[in-house]
Amino acid sequence: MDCERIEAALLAVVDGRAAKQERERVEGHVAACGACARRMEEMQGVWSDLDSLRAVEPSPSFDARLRARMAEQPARPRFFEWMTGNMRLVAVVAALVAVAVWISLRPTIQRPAPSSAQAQQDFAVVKNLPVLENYDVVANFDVLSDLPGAEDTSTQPQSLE
Amino acid sequence: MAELQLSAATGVLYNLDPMATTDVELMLGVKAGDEACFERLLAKYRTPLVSFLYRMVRNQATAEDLAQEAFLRVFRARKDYVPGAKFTTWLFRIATNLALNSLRDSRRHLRDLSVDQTDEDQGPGLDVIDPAAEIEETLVERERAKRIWDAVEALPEKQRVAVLLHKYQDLGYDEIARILGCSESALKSLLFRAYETLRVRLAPLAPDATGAGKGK
Ligand SMILES: [Zn+2]
Repeated sequence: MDCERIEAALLAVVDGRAAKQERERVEGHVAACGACARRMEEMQGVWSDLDSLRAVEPSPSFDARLRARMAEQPARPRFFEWMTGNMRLVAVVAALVAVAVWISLRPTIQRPAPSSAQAQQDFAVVKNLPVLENYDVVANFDVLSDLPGAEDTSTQPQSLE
Repeated sequence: MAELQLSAATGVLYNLDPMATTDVELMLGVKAGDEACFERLLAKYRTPLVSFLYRMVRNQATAEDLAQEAFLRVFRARKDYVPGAKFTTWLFRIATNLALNSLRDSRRHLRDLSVDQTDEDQGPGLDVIDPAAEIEETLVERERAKRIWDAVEALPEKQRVAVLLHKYQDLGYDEIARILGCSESALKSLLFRAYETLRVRLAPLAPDATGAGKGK
């Protein structure tokens, strides 16, 4: 009679998450209803089929590699932590503009033979810029911002079919 | 703190030290600079996370790389950690997002490749089988496992994440829903559709599915 409601509750019984009361309600119905008993059996079949998607153990070097990556992380400039998102953006843009101006003015002052110290200085600036730019990525908590929305069919960027 | 009771209630899949403090306490320790707390979170979630990611991307090296990235993000965000959402919700949200991005990237990559190359590279897949897995695995079982992998892989990505979290991680409906950013009832209908699709696709396997018991 209320097979539809039983059907909706079957999964929680099969996966073991149903509360005792709910489980007993479903089991009571299933004992007397052939159609639902079959549905439950099918559901259990799928559930146990999935056991064959084996788990894997992380390789022995997992932790060592993680530690290496953790050590790599850039030290945060202290003052940066005090700024809000917009201020950070302004600071990054200002830094970029300053560098651009500096680079465009520099050749007129000192063209003939850029010393290796000069070159190294250039390199240091260029090397440090991505650190600033990456900061917001690093600090971004909303890691799910591009997970597809509640409607899995409509908002999917690429279909798997 | 209701949160603390919740996380203490589950512990089947994770090797929980009976004396362990809760994840929230461990994470607060990490925030305070306690190296050992991070160590313990790592020990507890390393395997579940790598396994989840492996089932998502079907490649161990990629799975490990993404799992490390997830731990790295947790570590980098430690200073901003506020006990609120469960730690596992946070961790699996990060992992899910990383996995989906990785899959999209490799799909894009494959598409680009296929323009000027015949599909020699099928991407991450069953070809990557480590020695341990081959022990006692007959050809029939292999074939069967491949069909199941393929059926799961063919699910729309959100359904796939839902199934993998639901089947293999010891998480409640409410938590899985939070990881996916949907309501609990939306999750249930998502799972219902997913298992229905799997049932249809795996139907030819049914005869020998007996005796396998109730799973975990
Ligand atoms: Zn019925």
